[in-house]
Amino acid sequence: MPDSHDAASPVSPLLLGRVVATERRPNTPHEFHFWTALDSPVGIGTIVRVDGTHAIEGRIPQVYGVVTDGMSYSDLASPLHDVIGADADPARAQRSPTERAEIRLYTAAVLRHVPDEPLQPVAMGQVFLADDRDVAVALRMDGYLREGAHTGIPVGIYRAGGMESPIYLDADLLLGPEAAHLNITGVSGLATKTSAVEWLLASIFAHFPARKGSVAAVCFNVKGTDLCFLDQPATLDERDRTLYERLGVPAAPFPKVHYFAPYKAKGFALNTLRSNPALQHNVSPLTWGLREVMQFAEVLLNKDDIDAKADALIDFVGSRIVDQQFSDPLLGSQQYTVRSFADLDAFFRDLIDAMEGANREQWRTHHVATIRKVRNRLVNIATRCEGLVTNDAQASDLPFGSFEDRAVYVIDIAKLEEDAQDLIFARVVSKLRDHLERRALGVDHLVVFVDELNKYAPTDAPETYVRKMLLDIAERGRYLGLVLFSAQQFRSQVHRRVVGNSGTAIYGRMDPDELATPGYAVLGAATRTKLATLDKGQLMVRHPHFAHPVFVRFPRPAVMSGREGAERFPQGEEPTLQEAVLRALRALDPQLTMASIEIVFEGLYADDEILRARDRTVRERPRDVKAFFLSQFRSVVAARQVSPPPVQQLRNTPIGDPYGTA
Amino acid sequence: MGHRRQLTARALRDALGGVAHAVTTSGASLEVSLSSQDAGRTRRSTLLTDQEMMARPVAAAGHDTTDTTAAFAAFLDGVQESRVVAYLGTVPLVHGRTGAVIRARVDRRLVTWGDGPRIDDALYVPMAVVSGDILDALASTGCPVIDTVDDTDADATPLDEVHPQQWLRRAVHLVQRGREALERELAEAWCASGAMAPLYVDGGLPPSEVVLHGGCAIGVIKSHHTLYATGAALATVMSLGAGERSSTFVVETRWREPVASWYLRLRTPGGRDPLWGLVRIESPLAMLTEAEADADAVADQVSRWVAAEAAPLSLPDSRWDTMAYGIRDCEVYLRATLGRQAT
Repeated sequence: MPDSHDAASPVSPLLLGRVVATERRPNTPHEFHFWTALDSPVGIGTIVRVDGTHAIEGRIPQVYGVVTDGMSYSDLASPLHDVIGADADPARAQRSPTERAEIRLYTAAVLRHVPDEPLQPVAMGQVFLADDRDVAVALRMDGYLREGAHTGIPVGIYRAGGMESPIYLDADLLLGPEAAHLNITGVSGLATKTSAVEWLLASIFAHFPARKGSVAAVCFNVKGTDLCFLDQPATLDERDRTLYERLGVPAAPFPKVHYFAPYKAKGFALNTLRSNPALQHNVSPLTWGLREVMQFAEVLLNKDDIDAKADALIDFVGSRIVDQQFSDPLLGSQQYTVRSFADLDAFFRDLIDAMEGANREQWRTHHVATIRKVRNRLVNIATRCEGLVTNDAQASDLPFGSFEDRAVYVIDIAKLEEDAQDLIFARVVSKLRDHLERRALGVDHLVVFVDELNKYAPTDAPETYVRKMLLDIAERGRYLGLVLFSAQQFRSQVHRRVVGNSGTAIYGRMDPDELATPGYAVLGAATRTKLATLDKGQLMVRHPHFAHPVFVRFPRPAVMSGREGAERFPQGEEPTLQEAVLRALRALDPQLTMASIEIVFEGLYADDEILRARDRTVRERPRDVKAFFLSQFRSVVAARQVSPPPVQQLRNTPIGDPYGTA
Repeated sequence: MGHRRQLTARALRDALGGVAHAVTTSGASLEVSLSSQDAGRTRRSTLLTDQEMMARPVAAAGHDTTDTTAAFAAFLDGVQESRVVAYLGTVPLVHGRTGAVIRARVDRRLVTWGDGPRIDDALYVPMAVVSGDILDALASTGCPVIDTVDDTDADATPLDEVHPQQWLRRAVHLVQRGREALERELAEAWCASGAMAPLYVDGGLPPSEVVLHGGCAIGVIKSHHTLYATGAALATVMSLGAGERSSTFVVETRWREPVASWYLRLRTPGGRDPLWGLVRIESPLAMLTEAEADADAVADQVSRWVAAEAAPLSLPDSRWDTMAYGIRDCEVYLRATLGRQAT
């Protein structure tokens, strides 16, 4: 795409107005003023082009701007004059034969000068409504939409004066490596934040250049059913479909979606709102054992818990005891193999008993009080994160290492306690980072979507592990291909380094109080007013290539909304143990019947044992589900009456045997 | 109109070189700085219908809101500006600029009618008292040169005894003539265009047969240097209440065929001057004297049209009590077009 209109190219058909400047209100290189006809289709956010009047170095300069403010006034010197003229009767004023002369005067922020040098104040030229090509030049999109680049990711449609121009983000600045991350701000309840992310992910999946590698997304569903139906189609109207077509994005739900959720406390059913039986085919349990949790124990332990002494003991447990054979003279000859929280609890119990028995207060430099405390805190994790943390050594995890291109992995943590949410977030993100560092995740770029950043990375709260992780992604993630898409209601209350490192920012309808905070002072009053009254589907986008934010409209996501999904796919009833097991196994083998496995529910086996067998079967995904499941139960011999064996008659003693009886 | 490039200070300086003493053009124009020599006067006039001057209520004018239908489709006004740009010895060289425009009302908004404004400028100098070389130099500027010597006045002061201010007044008078000529041209163009609705002319009707017989223009005079009533009749006129008009009368002048006229009080003067809020309306005589016309009914109707233009107010113009907003709009337009303050 050429830099600008050349002299021979046709100009925009719609002449809007004319640049004006006075000594009191001069034009500058970054701002200019223009007036328009009263019925001109200009509004806040409209992109315009100014054609210069004098050639500079043989070229007529062109300036592109976006309207940031507007005012109108008449030749009325005092409001009182209008009152007098109408004899204080508003109806009479309306009937006056002539309307007063009035002006529509707009202020525009300069988006771009073509040529870039020399940078001069905007000339008193004619103002045209920007067409597609002008918009591309104004927003510097021509640089990445040109032949050979094509790193544009459609973010929406810019509309003005009957024109519609697609607006693209630069993939290099959205997903790295030049810049990265996206932050979305908007009030709750207007479907702005989640919808925008769903739309943008679809757009990325459709337009991210194949030569740049593969891309997937991990979304943390932190509230309600927002992200629970990404694989279900939405009902789109014709207007939305037209937008999808114009922007070149399929109006279809995500083809590859995988859901993960921990179990509920009982362990029967997954703790997710996506519990309708019809949607279980791609829902997998997310459960971790002691080994997984120990690596992130500090996430769940606050500063009071982990003083230096406790920290040392935890390190010792993690490095010397968990997942290996351990013995100690104090514990006698017993060998411990700690693989689960139950094993850990047993180990601590034996250790404390032994110390008490030996009347010792220290064990390997650790005081018994410290040992009691660490035992209490660690074993308590299993209780606090019930459903997520298993008491056996097995984990059911995301497919680290085999992530699929253009797939979405949703981790539903909406119904979990805060501790469990933190643990999941910390461990998943750490694993993702580790795998991306080793280029072993399965994809080259990964988008991590986290909502409610006000909660996870607040600006004025004590340091938490989760906030540290978010800062780490924001500051270093782009080098790895780990991209943070974050959202919150109040951007001003999110840690500056998280939002500050987001190359791209999206604003939906904003709370007026939020807009009154200093962070929005760079926006004009009119822009702030517009932000406070945006419709659904309207966004303001800030992107490194755009000299000033622009307003765009995006289509309704092609995936079923959380509300509609909850109505169409109501939650399943809380299952019994039998139902839960059968449901899980049927996801692997739809032919499986209750009758074929009911033997295990006849009271011979504990619930834990049955659930472990189910979990292992789900994890292993065997070819013969029934056989595999049943094979995990120890064989039990049915009790039966045992009759004594027939007594065999002893041979009679020989006659005359002196020892024989008579 | 006005395709010729207007005179610039540089062009004039280049043309005159050292023979003239250039004068800075800042400050008030001659129209403002020269004190008026016009003394007010009264004239007896011939009444058209009544036997004596009467006050007649104009139904719906002023306070009645039931009939404020605007009949005027457009407004005509002109501006002029005269400034001394140099002295040729003791003789002032005046540059006069004139402009006139019709602003038509479309959907209650005023827009420029026709081909746009008529704009002109000229240099005014008494040719008989400057050398031929200077006149040639002035002609080389491309700006028309108009002679300010009045050779029709037999009793005129000898040229070498004329006070420089007299030359200035003479120049301003000629500039006014030029402005009136532009206004007349536009009024004639309006009437010739076949417009059905009347034109609101600021000031008296121009001396044009097309206009005076076309019935397409109404003149509204705001100033009253000449009052067309004397004695009791004048008392009647000056005591008109808001929404009242005077009896109709005929205005006869040397330079124009007779027109019908009457006074209309637009606003209650209260404690102000009795001429405050008073306008004099001129209409073609035929409008009132045609066989089938009811002269008083026509005068009432035209009065209502004029009264309807009392809103919106033309404030902050000091003449807002009598100036229609459309006329103010013409002046603002012409000032913006001429680029400098013109009156």
